[in-house]
Amino acid sequence: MTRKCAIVGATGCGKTLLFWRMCKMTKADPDAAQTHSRSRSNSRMYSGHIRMPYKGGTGAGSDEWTLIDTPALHDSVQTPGIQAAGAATLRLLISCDAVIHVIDASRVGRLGGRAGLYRVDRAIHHLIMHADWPKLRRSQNGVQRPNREHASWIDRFLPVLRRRTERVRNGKLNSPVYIVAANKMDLPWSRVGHANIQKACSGAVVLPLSARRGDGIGGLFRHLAERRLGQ
Amino acid sequence: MSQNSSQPRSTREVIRWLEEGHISAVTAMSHLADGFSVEPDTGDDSKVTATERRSSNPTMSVQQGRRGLQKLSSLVGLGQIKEAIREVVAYAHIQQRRSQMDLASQPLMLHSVFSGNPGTGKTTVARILAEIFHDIGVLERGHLVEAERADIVGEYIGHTAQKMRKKVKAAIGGVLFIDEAYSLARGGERDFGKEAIDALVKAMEDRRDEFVLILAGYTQEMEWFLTQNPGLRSRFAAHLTFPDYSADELVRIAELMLRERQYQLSSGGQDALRTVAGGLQGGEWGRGNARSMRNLLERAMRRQAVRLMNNSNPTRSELLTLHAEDFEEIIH
Ligand SMILES: Nc1nc2c(ncn2[C@@H]2O[C@H](COP(=O)(O)OP(=O)(O)OP(=O)(O)O)[C@@H](O)[C@H]2O)c(=O)[nH]1
Ligand SMILES: [Mg+2]
Repeated sequence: MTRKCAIVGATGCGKTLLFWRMCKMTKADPDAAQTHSRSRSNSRMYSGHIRMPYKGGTGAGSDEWTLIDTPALHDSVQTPGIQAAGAATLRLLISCDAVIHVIDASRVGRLGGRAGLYRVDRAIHHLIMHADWPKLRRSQNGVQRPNREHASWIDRFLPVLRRRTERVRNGKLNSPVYIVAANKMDLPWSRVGHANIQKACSGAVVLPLSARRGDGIGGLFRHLAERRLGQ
Repeated sequence: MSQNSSQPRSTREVIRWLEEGHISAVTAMSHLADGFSVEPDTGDDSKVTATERRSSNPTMSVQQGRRGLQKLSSLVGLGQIKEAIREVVAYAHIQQRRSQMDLASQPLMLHSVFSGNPGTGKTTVARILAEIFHDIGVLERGHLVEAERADIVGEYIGHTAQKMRKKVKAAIGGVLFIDEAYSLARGGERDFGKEAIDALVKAMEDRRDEFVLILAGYTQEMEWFLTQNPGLRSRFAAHLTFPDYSADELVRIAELMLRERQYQLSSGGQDALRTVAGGLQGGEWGRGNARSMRNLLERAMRRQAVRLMNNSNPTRSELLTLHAEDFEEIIH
């Protein structure tokens, strides 16, 4: 069964670059219809299906994941298009099996302390670690269908979401696998930032990596494979 | 915006508000995480991000100020206190709007005295007040720094003033909350408490609009304290007296605490709780305050645990429920 993994985070943290990097490394064929350009991609989501081999207790095999790059979440109220995109992202966040939360470690290190983290970063961490997930998912009660531009990809995921709703009803689902990606580790200040992120994101797995260089992404895959749900 | 004056009822509602642009993604996520509010920070670093600063922008403030006010309303009891605070907040807000429109505005005097017994909600209200002042743009950060005598009164001449400056600096943009403030003035000749009060008065003068000072403590002692320095009393705009909770309010507080800890009461347990609350209010087992209620509940939870130890396989409902007998030791 295909599981969904959302890549989320604040603006400019490197979600899109990481998405393309992960697709490339698994030879995935991302959704070609949504061509990538930074200006247009800001309020779009696009997805790639990736297959990951794993060696687990149950023997060798492979996991199917749908990896989804999302538009940035923001600290304050934005233009209507961005708000709608944010709503779509939160719907996805609530329903997915895994979340990769990307944070720009170099920015965090440079700005220092908690000021380096966006408020959305703290909010994402808090939501995933502390929300009552079974309740959250029950109260979402399926997916409301937004009319505008996100309709097309929501359509594509509806069947997946329905299946999940069943699993939720059976009380099988808890919080998603949560991985914090401390990105841009190739830049100055990133080591300081990485340490700060570890402190701020207590309880979460924080993996240092560089989407640009491709360092540390193997660890990300390993983690997804090991922590996969539903077995 | 009408959506913001009530709590969202479901995940879908939160997401709709986000979609329609009534709330930010941060607020949406904090609703989803339930009761979570993203506060700027309470600690040491004085950096405020550009976004945090922008959020104290006046056009957003009315809408946002409601959140802190909502928290205030959700507190059990405290009717008069809430009313007084709403007044102070409304006044501060309107004075700000007036000055933005170049109308004559009164300088804001927001320093306050909170008197009342311990555990009557003074710190909680101070924290919420800080948040409201931040929401309406009066305070840049809206955090609360707590201090007591030991943090302020020093050991040699000049030390106290230095310690006080440090605390005030940490509180810039927020609220400095000094509990048992009269303890600053206690002690005899060779005490530096006097130096502390002078330093405090000076800070209120020098950094007038940059922080809000709240002094708290028992009513009588606070009265005495305000006579210790001639200029002191007139520097505080609001003098709020926090009453002890009534028995009914204590029961409601207890119910909230139990729900938070995932416990429930059998009907016998409910009767026992009412007896306990009545006793608390009458001063039998401690003062009429939330803290003693919490201690008593925790004792009852421990009694329940001991009772269940004899049971090799307690059911879910047994684990959840407190019975009259768990309160017995407290009542008798
Ligand atoms: N040096 C370095 N730059 C990176 C890295 N990852 C991303 N970047 C750069 O950071 C900028 C933003 O990257 P994106 O991938 O577009 O960020 P995003 O999170 O998708 O941004 P939005 O979609 O606008 O929210 C680009 O200039 C990237 O080249 C990294 O690991 N190292
Ligand atoms: Mg992007």
